[in-house]
Amino acid sequence: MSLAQMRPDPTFYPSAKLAMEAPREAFGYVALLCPDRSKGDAIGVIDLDPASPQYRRLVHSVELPHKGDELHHYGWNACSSMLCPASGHPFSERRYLIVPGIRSSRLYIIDTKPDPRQAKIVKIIEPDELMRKTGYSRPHTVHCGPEGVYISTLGGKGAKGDESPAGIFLLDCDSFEVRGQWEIERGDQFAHYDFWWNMPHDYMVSSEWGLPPLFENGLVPEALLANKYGHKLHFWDLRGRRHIQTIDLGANHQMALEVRPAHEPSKDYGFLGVVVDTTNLEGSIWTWWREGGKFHARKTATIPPEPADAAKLPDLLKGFGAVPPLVTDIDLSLDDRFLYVACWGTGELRQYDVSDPFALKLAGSLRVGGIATRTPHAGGKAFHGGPQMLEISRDGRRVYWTNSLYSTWDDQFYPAGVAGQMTMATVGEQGGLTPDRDFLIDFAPPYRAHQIRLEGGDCSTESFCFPSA
Amino acid sequence: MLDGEFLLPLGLNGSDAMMGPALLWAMIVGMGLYQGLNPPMGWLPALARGLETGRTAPLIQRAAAIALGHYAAMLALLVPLAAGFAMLLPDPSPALAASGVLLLGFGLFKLWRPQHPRFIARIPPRQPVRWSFWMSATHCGSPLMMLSALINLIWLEPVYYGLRFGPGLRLSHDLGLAVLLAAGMTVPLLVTASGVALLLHRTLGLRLIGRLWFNLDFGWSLAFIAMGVMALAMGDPRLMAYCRSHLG
Repeated sequence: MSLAQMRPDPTFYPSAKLAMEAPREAFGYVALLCPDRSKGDAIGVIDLDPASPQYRRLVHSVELPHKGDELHHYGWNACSSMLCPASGHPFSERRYLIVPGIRSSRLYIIDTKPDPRQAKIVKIIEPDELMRKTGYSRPHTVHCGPEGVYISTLGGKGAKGDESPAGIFLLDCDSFEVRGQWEIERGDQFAHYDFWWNMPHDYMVSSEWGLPPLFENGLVPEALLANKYGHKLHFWDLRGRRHIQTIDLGANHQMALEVRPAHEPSKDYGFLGVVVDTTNLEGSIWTWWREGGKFHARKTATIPPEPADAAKLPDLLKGFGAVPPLVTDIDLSLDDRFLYVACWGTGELRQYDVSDPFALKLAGSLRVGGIATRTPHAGGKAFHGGPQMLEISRDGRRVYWTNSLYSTWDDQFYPAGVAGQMTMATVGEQGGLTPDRDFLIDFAPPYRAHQIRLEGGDCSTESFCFPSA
Repeated sequence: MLDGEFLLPLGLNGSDAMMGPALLWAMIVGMGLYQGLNPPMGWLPALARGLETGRTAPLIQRAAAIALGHYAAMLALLVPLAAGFAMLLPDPSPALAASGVLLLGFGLFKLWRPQHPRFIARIPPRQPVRWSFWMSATHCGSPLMMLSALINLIWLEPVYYGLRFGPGLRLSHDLGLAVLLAAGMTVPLLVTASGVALLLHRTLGLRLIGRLWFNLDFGWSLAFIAMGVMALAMGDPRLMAYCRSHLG
């Protein structure tokens, strides 16, 4: 019996405050996809220890044996949720990355111990097993929680994945056996994207992107203008696995993506990013909250489109003469103070002070990339695409991001291609973003870069049952 | 150390006879203390509740809810068994060997599969009594752990002292023992869990959770194996004696 099984993993933190005070990340992981399918996708390992001679470099990559998986989001087998009083037996290690292929519906289990620089694949779950056991396809968000590893999917049955609802399935956090569908009653939910929860208050929130035919071969402009993408928030009884409420944001609010509940378990609210409003091309941030036993949501920030010369625009946008901000990712710091918003279209990273979740204040902004602006990186080199997947260090002092959205969409919005890059900015005590001019990782072509995970957990993996008091 | 006491034949002098029950009760209380130190069985949820509300009363209430669920789980198994013994098996000693097999098997099973049963993760956090009941009844196996103690206590008094209770008295005696035994384990559990939660809440703080949370479940599984072996060792001669006297 190893010591690891006798005590909880030191990277499980009882509260958000203790997670912020824990040692900083020495490694990061990044999803690298190979859009031309000349090789398999990969999980890259980045050295993030400033004292290391390899700092800011790709030090290892776990190349996947299949081609065209399309890595996107991924997560840990175990995290701080293990310490919840009712979760019980916290003697699993934070050790394995659960890595779904969003296009292939294949799942890879990657072991990051004893040394992240020697991370390797230990198990592969094939798409037919996933379909047989869950009825789902296109796995996406991964969260570790009360019943094991929860994974959302974007597709259901059928070749196009649109013949039955998309949903969440459970994976055993130790054996990595697929257990089956999570939902017992799904109400009117059909499309899916992201989800998260408040564990002590026992509810889950989920969002909608669109069914696979609406995204796999690229954005479908007619469908977008006809408001066919997702625009609803769903609320669930977490332990009961039942749908309890739907909030329709209005059909013009197309693509309700990341949901970010407050990390402090006593706070009954969270945020949602909406990619585009089809009436005016705005991106928006919504605050949802629970009050009087019901959930509510309202728009608390909007980001306007920016007019641009049609000559600088891809075919998709020429007719509009403007660039929509395209809010494709949001991320909330562990102290629930700053919400970071990626405007992938306009090439802006915004930082909002959300101390008052109903009165968002812009606290910082940074420009890099962008469809029309093409702002170079602070160090002077070109930055492809725009700020996309964000990850905030646990202490809230560093924000990392990559630049690719999704292979086919990259090509529509950035026809010149989105060569994979990862960069970082530091955060001031009172907010404000300072780009790190020396931190720019150019991944070897043809790799593009998507989600980042940080060693020991980060702001979009950790959820807590204890208050920070 | 216990088996020497129980292996002695009938008709001992009084002072030796007193050692058996005293040691048994000490063991029952000790197991209650041990479970009280086990974070999920009281102090962790109590601490979470205390921090959430900033007050002591809800903290104690949560510890009490966990203890209540534990007590109910003990009664749910021990009361029907005690009644069964009283009515069907006036001398319960042959059941001791069987309890040894159960305890040993359960201990080995827990080592092989230390995770909680899955359905427990679906009990809402606002139902701590229900959670604790199922946790105690299944994962912890607390009532099972007390099975051989119950058999011994029943056996010790009426048989060891050569008493011959009538059926009515025997039933109330055995049921009384079951209730007392459940309390003998649960009260120390409540005291320890509340004490640890209060200490962390008032002074030490959350930071220590990671350090204080040992895998007590591992020791608990070993205790099952030890109890099982002990019950088998004690039960075998008694079973033989029982068979000799009843079968020829």
